[in-house]
Amino acid sequence: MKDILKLCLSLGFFCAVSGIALAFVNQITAEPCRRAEEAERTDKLKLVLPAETAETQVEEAGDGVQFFRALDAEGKLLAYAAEGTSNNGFGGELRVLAGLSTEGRILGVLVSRHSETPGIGTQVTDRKLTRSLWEILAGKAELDPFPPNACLDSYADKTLGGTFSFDGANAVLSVSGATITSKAVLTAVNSISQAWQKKNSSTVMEEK
Amino acid sequence: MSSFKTLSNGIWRENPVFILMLGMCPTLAVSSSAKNALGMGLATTFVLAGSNLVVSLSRKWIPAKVRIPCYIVIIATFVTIVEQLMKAWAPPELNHTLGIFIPLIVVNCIVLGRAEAFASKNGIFASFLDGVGMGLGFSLALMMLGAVREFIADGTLFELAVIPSWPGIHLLKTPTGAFIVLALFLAASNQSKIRKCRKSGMKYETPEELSCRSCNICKLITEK
Repeated sequence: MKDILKLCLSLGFFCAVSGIALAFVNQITAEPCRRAEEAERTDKLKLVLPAETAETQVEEAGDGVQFFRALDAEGKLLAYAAEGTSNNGFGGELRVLAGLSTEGRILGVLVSRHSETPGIGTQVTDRKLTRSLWEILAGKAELDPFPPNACLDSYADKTLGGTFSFDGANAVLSVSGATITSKAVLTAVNSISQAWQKKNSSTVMEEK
Repeated sequence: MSSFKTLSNGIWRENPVFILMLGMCPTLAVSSSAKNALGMGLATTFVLAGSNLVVSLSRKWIPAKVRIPCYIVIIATFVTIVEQLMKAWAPPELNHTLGIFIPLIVVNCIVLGRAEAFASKNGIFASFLDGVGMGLGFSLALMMLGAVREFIADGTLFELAVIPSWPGIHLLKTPTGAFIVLALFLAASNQSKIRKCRKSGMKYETPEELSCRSCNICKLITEK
């Protein structure tokens, strides 16, 4: 009996000390964690929004699509951004971030999170150029932060409303061999399109 | 054992990946590129050094019957600290790729293995050095695997192209590639051991757990 009490107390002591240590670390890192998350989001938003954007605001999410507002230096609404999700990527969840003009024209699309197969699915999802070691040694200039990707660029300049598909007049490109990933990107953009329509109809209703 | 020997023990003679064969799950999973391998290696080194230090410090007060739960609490604390620090200050891309493997350091057998086999029996300083050495050995092994896999898959090292217009063998980035490269490394490590034995004039004996005596796969096949 005495033995059990001793075991419980010593284990309890270790748990208590570790709890205090973790609370302390949590307090120190809470602020930097929040700032890191915010910085990551604004870095990605910057790529799909117009260059004049000075501030971004988070709007309430609806139907799994998160909208952001981009304001210029004077606080005027410049553009929107929307992040849509598809759960049917080859590696599960896939998120697409799109910049939208105020009329709903797509400015640029990028895949903000995915776990697709390297070399196959990433042909669709990645906007990536690798710098060569020799270029850096030679002191060449910085890379384009928003490199082209034929599949993702085929969404640009299209207007939201209705659904996109791989054929027809309003067709977007897909990559053969990466059909599932291409479809997942398409689904995510379509979910943004739907949410956009719903959002607009609801604001019109409010105005009436 | 001298301090230097304790430190270098984990780096080569008892390398956790190539010799002790511990912590294979994170090894296979995060060695897809040199950068991921470095991030994972440093995180594990921090946890190993910290947990070894604290376990050694409190080894006299931990009752033998509950030592494993106590070790796990200590290790889990350090892992959570690393996770928080990485969330705050590591590049977000690294955080996403390492993702679940950082919390899983808790159940990495190297960490618990060193707490049980070394830190619970040795002094504070030696235990700390052992943790650092083992961590560096783990990082080194991961970096070697990661560099080879990344180089063959993309022709890059630390995301910098070494050979422009490399054809790219993406198999090496998948788990299959991890097994292939790890097997080649282990074969090379065993070959070097065999050669060393021959050079010194001794006969190389297969370790007990790998020899025919303890493996009965062929017996199973012939019985059928």
